[in-house]
Amino acid sequence: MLAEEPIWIMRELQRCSGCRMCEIACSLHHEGRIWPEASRVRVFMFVPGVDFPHLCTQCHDYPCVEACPVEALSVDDDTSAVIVDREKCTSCGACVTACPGRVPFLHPGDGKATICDLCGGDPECVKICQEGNWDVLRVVERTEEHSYKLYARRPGEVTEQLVKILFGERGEELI
Amino acid sequence: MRGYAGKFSEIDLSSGDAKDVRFSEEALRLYLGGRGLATKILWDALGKRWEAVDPLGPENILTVLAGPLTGYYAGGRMCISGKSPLTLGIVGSTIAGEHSIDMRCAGYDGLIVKGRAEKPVYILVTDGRVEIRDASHVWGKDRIDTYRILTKEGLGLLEERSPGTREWKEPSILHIGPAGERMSRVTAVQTKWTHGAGYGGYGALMGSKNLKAVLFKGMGPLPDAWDMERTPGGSTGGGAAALAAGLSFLSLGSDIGGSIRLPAHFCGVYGHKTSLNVVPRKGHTPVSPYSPPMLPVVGPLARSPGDLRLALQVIGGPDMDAVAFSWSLPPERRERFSDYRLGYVLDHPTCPVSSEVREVTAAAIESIRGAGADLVEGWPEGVDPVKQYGTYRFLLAGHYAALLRDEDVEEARRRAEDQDGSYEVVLALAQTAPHREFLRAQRERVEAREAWGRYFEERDAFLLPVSFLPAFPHDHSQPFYGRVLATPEGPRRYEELMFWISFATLTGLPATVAPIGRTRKGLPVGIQIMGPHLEDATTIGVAEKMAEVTGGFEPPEGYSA
Repeated sequence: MLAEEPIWIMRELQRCSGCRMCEIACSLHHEGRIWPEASRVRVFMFVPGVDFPHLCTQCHDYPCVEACPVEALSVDDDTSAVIVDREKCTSCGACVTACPGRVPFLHPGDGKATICDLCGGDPECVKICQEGNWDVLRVVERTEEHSYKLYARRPGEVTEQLVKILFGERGEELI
Repeated sequence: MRGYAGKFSEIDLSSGDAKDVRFSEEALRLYLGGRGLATKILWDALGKRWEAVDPLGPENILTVLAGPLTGYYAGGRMCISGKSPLTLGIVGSTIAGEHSIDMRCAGYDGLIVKGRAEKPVYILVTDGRVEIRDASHVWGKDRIDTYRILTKEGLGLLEERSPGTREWKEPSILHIGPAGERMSRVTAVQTKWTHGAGYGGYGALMGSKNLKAVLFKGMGPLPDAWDMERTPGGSTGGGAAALAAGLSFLSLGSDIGGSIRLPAHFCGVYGHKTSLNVVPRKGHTPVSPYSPPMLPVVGPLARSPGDLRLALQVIGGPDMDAVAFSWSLPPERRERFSDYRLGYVLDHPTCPVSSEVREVTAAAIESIRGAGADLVEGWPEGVDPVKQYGTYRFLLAGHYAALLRDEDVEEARRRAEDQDGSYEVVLALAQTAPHREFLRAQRERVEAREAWGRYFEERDAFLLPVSFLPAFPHDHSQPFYGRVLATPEGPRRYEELMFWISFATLTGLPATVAPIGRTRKGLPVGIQIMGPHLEDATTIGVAEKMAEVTGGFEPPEGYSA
């Protein structure tokens, strides 16, 4: 079912169990096979038990799109997702380093920039997460009031915050 | 063999060498999965002098092996084995985690670790590459420090090798703590902080080799299994697919809505829906034997009719508690295929058979005619397929009503008022119908059985399609009854899968499914052989004799019989 309004994938990271069904669902959808490292949502676990999904948040100013020297990246009018023109992409990696959360990556197969396209408005990762009742990922309406860029954080930073939530002060010793 | 990357790494810690090794298709098949293959590797290398092998000496072998389906969906168990320091036998000790998936994504199905390193080491497995690295700095460290240090180190190495391409995910790590280093014979091989391969004391084996940890990071996809696009059918889809792939010789299933027959048809194997109450349902879940003994049965799936017969002899009989009587089933009706009096239909307007299935079924019927069997086309006199299908749907829906909670029944009552003809409403109506409606359906059921019974006085068996289409692609985009199935003649409703299997279930008659060929796209097609009440031997017998004419089970491409 396609959303009428642009959507955003809301994330409650501390609920993540690390089951990685989102990676499976995403790669089956985009690659036709199970391929965790080609999944547009990737689960990180720098500290055991502190698993969380890492995926594009669609910043309002799209630094990745700005950084692309060959205009291979664009914003989809309907969904607000970043769309990659794989023909134009030169695998320079500028989008990877421009992203404050280092969310884009070069595909392990063809080396092209790879970014969540929100499955055209009906994201598979959310469906499978909901099916498992984990409720880490949820589809909500995208509004202008929020600064979605706050969610573009590197996995290291996210881990630091999560271990403190989960383990308290002791968390720092674990990183 | 499908599902395997095909490559294992044999690592000699004494010399520091690692080389890729492969096993024959036959070996992978015969010793399926991590436990099986570990046993073969160990027995081949050490079996002749097993007693003399010191489990903590350099000649013992540590195996770290995955199976052909490891990683498919959220399953990720790896099998650790070797001569057990604890039991001195072979223990397959399994451990769950991302390491098994990372290993397979790196292109390896397993590691075979020999010898003993001079100093503490860890092994780093990346795409097609196996390295032995110094682990002196983590020797003596507990799980938390080991994990912290090796995660950082692994991430640094990955970034160094391929900078700026991505935020690297951590490598997956198998490791031992201080107890393993000191070769305590009860230590586990661990991953994360709390997951362990605890049986067999293989942590001590790692310690004896001076092997502190194994790090995995694979960037590739999982090796291809068979066709993941299509359903093997259900509910015994796994059993039928396993039979087709030669992973087993017998599966058991239950059948109320085609759960034996549809998977057999989709996967090209034999399946037998037994006569009602020929096989006890005691122990069958989720529906207990205390549900009305009216529709569901238990039966076998196999690669040959002979195996079906054998299975039925084993599992058939009165319920264990029925001490006061015994029974035996009638023998097969005919000895020769040409003596058989058969009937058949190829189609029905309520559920038209797609051209791809019809083509194969019609060809099989012609071969049977050619073999000299007496063959008559047409539905039995007195059998109204549309009415029987309706009665079946009513009773099937009602079958589950006993499991509903009060609020579900209230919801069904509201839903039943819609009268929109959808299956959901049929379901709701049946679940909330008064008892007299149930008794009416019950009477229709008995009448249907009598009509078929009269037919089987003249005819020995009746051939009909199992389904209107072959195995179809997975599609979860819609709720159950909103799903649409594509055929060359256009879209069809999901619930139509229930039409062709309904007659044998409604009447409690036996029905054997036999493979009869493939569609032009190579998908298996089966035929349903319905027979007289309790004459299961006849439908199985017809399937057996038919195999000589239409061909029997054919393994999928790349698989051996």
